[in-house]
Amino acid sequence: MGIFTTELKARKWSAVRWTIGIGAFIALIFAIYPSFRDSSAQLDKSLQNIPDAACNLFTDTSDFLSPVGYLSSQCYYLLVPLLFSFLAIGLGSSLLAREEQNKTLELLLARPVSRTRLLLSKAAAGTSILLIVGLVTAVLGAILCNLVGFPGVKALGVFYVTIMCLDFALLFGALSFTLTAMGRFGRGAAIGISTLLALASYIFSSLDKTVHWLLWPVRVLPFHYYHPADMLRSGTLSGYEAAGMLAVSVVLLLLAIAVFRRRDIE
Amino acid sequence: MADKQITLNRLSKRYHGAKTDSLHGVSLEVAAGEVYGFLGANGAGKSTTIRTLLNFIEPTSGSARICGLDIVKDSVEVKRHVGYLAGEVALYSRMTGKDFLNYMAGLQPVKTKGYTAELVKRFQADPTKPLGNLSKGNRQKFGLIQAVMHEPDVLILDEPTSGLDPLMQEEFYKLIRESKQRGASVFVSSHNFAEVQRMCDRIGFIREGRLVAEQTLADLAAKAAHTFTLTFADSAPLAELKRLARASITAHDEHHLTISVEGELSPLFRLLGAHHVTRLEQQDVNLEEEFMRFYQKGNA
Repeated sequence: MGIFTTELKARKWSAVRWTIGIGAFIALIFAIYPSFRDSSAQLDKSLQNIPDAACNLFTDTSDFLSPVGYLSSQCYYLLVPLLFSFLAIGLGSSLLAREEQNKTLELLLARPVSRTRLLLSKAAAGTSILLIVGLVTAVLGAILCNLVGFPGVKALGVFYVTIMCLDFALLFGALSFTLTAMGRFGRGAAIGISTLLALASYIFSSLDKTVHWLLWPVRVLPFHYYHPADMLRSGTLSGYEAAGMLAVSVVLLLLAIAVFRRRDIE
Repeated sequence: MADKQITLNRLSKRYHGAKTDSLHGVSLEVAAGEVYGFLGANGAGKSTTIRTLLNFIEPTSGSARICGLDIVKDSVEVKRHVGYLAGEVALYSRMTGKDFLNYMAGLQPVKTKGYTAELVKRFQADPTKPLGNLSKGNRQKFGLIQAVMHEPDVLILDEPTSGLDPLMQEEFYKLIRESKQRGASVFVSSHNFAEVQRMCDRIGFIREGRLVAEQTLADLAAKAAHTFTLTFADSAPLAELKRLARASITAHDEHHLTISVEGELSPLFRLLGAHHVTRLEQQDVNLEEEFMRFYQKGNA
């Protein structure tokens, strides 16, 4: 048994719980759509009074009541990326830091295992868990989309938007993993910094339509490149954006390796 | 001396942000088949030396080699030859002993099939329970087993018998003898003087990051203060014995007296010849006293 398989085995029930949790949330949002649609006339009046800046915090489309607007505002614009990010940040901050904190890291490094191999095995295990949870919930969303019926929403779009959420979460997971690999930050600090940056990325990117001076600075934030409404409508993945976020995650992993290879183990 | 399996050459370590070195140019060698005891007070640099040897921390200057391989550049290759037991054994509390040993064997395959099972039997370790449910002594058994199960050429052990009961300690000493017989070098850090005295061929004393002395156990015995307990038929000649050079009386009553003499013993026996001594008993070399002597010298 290697580090990768041992890590997967140790976290299998946690992965099952996250899959059930996120899956249940998505299923619930999809299931209540017919009731929401039936009361849309009443809701329309209430929503007209909400300022644009507030609307931008919940969706990337101005139409809350359309099927696309509903899925974006209730599910894919904020909550699913946030849930995946919590999972990824939790994983990233514990894969290495918990071993170092518990002193079991010495057991592994006393074996003929290079630090690079150790780090890559841990990162691969974390990414696999994220992928398993993400793929199951992506497929579930696509199936439910067809079952419930969302005019104007493509099932493939639901699948891709979940994959984009994963990509986004992976970046912040990689960030927390890198912070713990650097050794200067404890697990708590890595969670705090990564969560803060994820939330800041979401808030600033959501406000860029209202606060005009944010228009340029938000281009460095990953959430700026996340447009669930477009993906739900078109059924296509924003390839460049997805590749860009993945590239940043890879760069963070390389940085983690470079630092961890030479640093003292606490 | 036979092949050197461990060589430290002016090894130094200064931790990030520290003003002084934790390890000051330590040089030592351990031969194949030799058991080297590393003695020192808390914070003297024992663990820093061990952690540097295993490349958990990088030396600031100097170098070290294990089985001819550089501990930093060839770190992974070095680990193929090494078995390590940490001072505070940290194990995966949710794993059973069996899963843990399988995991360790997956990272470093064992040489002899069935040897791990034999060790589990010898140490009476229970491989079915989660490690977190075991007592300190029982966890220590798994720490020891994982360190030796791949029959390494070099064993680096930090307080190896901590928590083991006397029977298991005996089993451990037997294991060390077996490792020594097959040519393995053992580098052992300990606070247990009796254990070091019993197990080691050579001892190094470390103080404030410096190797202050190195001696074989035989040399130590020869140079150590000889301690005698004497029984006299008449009153013990306390005043005369006190005048002896390089001698100190550590206990006495009317007829009995305990005296420690450094160096030449003839003056003591000349003096005793003039008295009616009914019993003379020589005590074993007291490593603890020697240890204290090195430390007191250093503090003086």
